[in-house]
Formats: sequence, structure tokens, C-alpha cells
Amino acid sequence: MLFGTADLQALGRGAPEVELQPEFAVDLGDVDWLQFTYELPGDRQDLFPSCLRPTMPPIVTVQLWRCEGGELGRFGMAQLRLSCRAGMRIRAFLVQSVIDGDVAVRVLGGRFGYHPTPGEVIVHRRADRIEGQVASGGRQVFDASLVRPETLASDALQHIDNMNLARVGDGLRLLQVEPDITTLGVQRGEQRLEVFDADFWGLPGRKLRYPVIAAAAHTKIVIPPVRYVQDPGRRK
Amino acid sequence: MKFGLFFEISVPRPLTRANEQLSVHNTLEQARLADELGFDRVWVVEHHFLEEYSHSSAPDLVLSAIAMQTSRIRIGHGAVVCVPQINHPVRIAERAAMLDILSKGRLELGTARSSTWTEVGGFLGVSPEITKLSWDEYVHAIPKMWEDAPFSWDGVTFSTPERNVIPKPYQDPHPPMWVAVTTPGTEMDAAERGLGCLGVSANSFKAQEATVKRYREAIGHCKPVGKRINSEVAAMNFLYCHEDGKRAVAVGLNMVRQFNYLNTHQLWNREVFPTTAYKTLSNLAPGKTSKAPDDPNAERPVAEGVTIGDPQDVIRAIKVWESTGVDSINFLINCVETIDQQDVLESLRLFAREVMPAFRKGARMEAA
Repeated sequence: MLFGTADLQALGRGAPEVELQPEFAVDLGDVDWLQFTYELPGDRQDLFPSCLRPTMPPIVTVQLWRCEGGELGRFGMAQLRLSCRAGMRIRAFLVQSVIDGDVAVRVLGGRFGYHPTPGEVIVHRRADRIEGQVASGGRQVFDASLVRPETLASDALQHIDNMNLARVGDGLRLLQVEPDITTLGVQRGEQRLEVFDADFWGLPGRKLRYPVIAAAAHTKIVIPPVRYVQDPGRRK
Repeated sequence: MKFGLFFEISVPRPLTRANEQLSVHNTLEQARLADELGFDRVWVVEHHFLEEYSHSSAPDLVLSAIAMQTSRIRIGHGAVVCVPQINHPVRIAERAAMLDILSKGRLELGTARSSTWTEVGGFLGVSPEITKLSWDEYVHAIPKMWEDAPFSWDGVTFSTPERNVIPKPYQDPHPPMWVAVTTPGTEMDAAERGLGCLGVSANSFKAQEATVKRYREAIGHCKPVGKRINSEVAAMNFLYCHEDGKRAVAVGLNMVRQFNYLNTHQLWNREVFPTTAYKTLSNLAPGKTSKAPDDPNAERPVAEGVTIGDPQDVIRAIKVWESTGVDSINFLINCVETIDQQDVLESLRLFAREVMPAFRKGARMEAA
């Protein structure tokens, strides 16, 4: 089996500081959910801490959420994750995220370990496509579309929980973040990629060469309390 | 009760050519011994790109070698992936018929549609959405290729104008056909088409009993795809048998653990591609989910009925499987060479000497 070989200190340089509260949960309300999936060419082990195992091939998902009606009000979040295994479980390792609401930055960054990188996240539904755009620091860092959407049953979508690297107290820890997602309707379609800033997303020099599929959904999301915290350097 | 071996041809890291060659030749030696000891079948799987887990991408070639080195054991080609970008159905029918001739009528053909994105996505252009449809067309068409001259097909996932698909198989009318059953419900697909139920996931006793019951009820009303109905239900299990039960458990469970880890590291279609064509994240690994769901490192408990232990332990486990109604069990006997080859061979000899006689008369008692 392959293990991650990333330098943990380098990996943790941008990790958010998290204050864990055992009972803290947050209801995000209605979430317009959009995901683009790609295979990532090249070596994969150097992207993960040593406690996580990359899948073969490594899969990149860029996921965009537009949330409203929940405890954090209206906001957007975009995240780039890499498929992996934690122990024997299917997980996705968070590499970078963008959040465009002050309250959401505080809560999702400070409680759940999402990167609080400021920016703007747009999900725009049109008749023949669903567009997803992310900007940060005055530049476009992601722009893609799901084209020719076809409707699927809501159980067609498999949601994968996160492993978010964060600084907890004086050490780095992986937080297992398990959003409880109620899927109300799913669409699937080909994806068209216009902009992907690999440096911004933490994958310098990498290209998203092999598209898999795009998916969109109307969801309701509640993030329950973090139940499990892992030492990212512990290999098992 | 029939007994078979189930070869994944897993290879330990580092993935050197020497390690690959060792795993393949160990497989051949195990198959030769199984033939001599009275095992009923050897199955060789088809997988692609699954580093470490299974390097068995050309099972027909491995089975040809086994057929040439054995005299009586049946040759399980399965499960063949029934997806056009991976195997054209005419090529499956041709290769299977030739294998049947080479083995003088010992072929059994298993069919499947591939559960992993690593495989399906590796052959660009395959959508997981169509694999059930292509599998269904294949299992209907292949027996006709064996029987009809000329054969033609005008389908959705493939079409063939009038051609005589040759050679024709040795067995008349044709070899038995099976379906690899990983997820609940596939046993009904098998039963409705008169195909054998080739279990490739480890079930609990209760789940297996329910599967067998559903299958038996349905196959009585089947519309067979060929001229031969195969109504056999096979289960999958691990095997390590040793006189010292404690040693058997220590060695055998290490193999199970290795297999479980490798299995759960596969990239499942449904994990990547939103679809209802795959109902679950397919999982060959036995064992229930940990009771401590917040700890991803918690190991799954070993599933009930794993055939690891001293001969009496193994007999007891198989008796329970027998009571669920299964007709045969196919054993995984090693994983990434975790168990030394000589220990694997000795385990097979002990099984043949002490366990087989408890389930049938006439089993060969002496190891070669």
C-alpha cells in the first residue's frame, strides 16, 4: 500500500487554527452544490500526510457550495480535495478552500479546519449548463461548467467525508469532517474547464488533464461536531 | 459441497518484475496441487491496473497454462469483464471456446462488469452507466455465438454482422456460465437468466441464506440465456488451515487483514461517478463496519464463518455455510505473498486430508 510522503510542516503552513468544541454543529441550510471531478496525473504520494493513502488513480474534486437560509446566512465555499483512504475508510483530503462570508470564515475555518481563504464563489444555473466560478485576490482561480445536465435519482450521488488539516493547540491534526447532506435532486453532465490556477489550489505544476464527470445537486447540509481527530504523522 | 480456489494474483510491493513472476508461478503451483488434491475448480479473475491487489489482466493465458498442467480440475474463467472497451464479446466467446478445447471440456465462464473506476476509467470512453446493459447483452449473445453458425447481433452496446464465431466449445451445448455477485440483487439477475451465482463478496450467514433463498425461488422461473441452466450458488471465503489452531489464526488473519486493506483501497465507480447503476460501494472485504465509526483506523472484525483455523475449526465453519444452501466455496489462499508458499501448499494438503472427507466421499487423501 502507498502512504503519503508530504513534508508535514510544509503541508501545515497554511493550516487554519481550530478550537474544537465537542458539541458544536452548524446548519448551513439550503445548499446549491456543484462538483467537478478529474483524474490527476503524476506522483500522488507527495500530496498527502503519511497517515493517509492515495487512491489509484488520484482523484481531484473541486466542490462549490452556495448556501442560504442556515445559521451562517448567505455565503459560498469552494474546496479542492484529493481522494484517499484513512485507515479503511473512503475520505477526501482538503488541500485548499475559499469562503466568501465573514461569519462562515470564522465558523468553518475556526471550528472545522476549512481554509479561510477569502474570495468569491459563484454557482449560476442556466438552461443548458451550470457554471461554477471562484475568484480570490482579484483574479479568477477556477471557472468551469457542467454542460447538458441530465437528471438522476437523488441516491445516485455518493458524498465523501473530509479530512481537514488544522492546527489544534500546538500541533497539527487531521479533523474528520462529516457533513450530513440531504440530497434533493441530482444532475450529471460533461464538464468544461476554462480556468484552473494550480498554484492557488495547492497543486503547483499539475494539470487537470483527465475529466471524469461533473455533478450538481440541491441539498441541505448540516455539519455535525467533529468526532475524530487524527495525528497526521501516524502511519497505520 | 464443492471446493475451489480463487486467484487474484496479488503482488507485494515493491512491484518488481521478480515479484510479479513469483506471484504468477506460485499461482500455477497452487493450481497444480489443487488438481492433485481433489479440489473442484480454480478461478482466475480479470482485473486491470489494480496495482498490488490483482495483476491478473490476462486470465485466459494463466488458465491456458493451468489447463495444460492439470488433468481434472475445472477451469474458471472469471469473471470476464463484459464491457466493449475492455473485451469485445466475440473475443470472449472465441477465447473461452478455445480454453474449453484445450482443457477438454473443463471451462466455466464467469461474467462481470467491473466495480472500479480505476478499471472502467482506464479504458477511456466507458461510462459506468452502460455496464449493466452491456453485460446483459453479452450473456445473451455469447451462448448464441457458441451455438449458431452463422451468428449475428444487432444490439445497443455492440453489433456484429453474420459471421461464424469459431471455434465452438468442447462442452455440448456449451460451458456453464456464471455471474459474479458482489452487491445484493445481482443474484436475481443471475437467476432470471439461468446463470450460476458466483459469490465474490463475503456475506454473513444470514445474508447468504437470504441470497440463496431468493436465487432458488427465481431460477425456477428463469428464461435461460443459453441451452444450459447453471443453478449453482458459490460463496467466497479465505482459507488457511494448520494443525495448530492458534498459528492458523495468526497467519490466516494476517492474510485477511492485508486483503481487506487492499480491497478498501480500490477506487469504486460510485465513489467517482454519480450513478444508480452501482447500488453500493462494492466491497469484497468481509467484516462489518467498526462499532467505533469515528475512528477510521479501527479494524473491521473478522467476519463470521471465515475458514481459518485447525481442521475441526474449518469443518465447523463450512458446515454452517453448507446449511445456508451454498453448493460450493471458493477460497482465497494468499494475499501479496503474506503467507510463505510452502505454508500455503501445506494448508491445502491438510485441508484435503482432514477437511474434504467430511463433506464428500472419494476425495483424494494423499498430497502429492
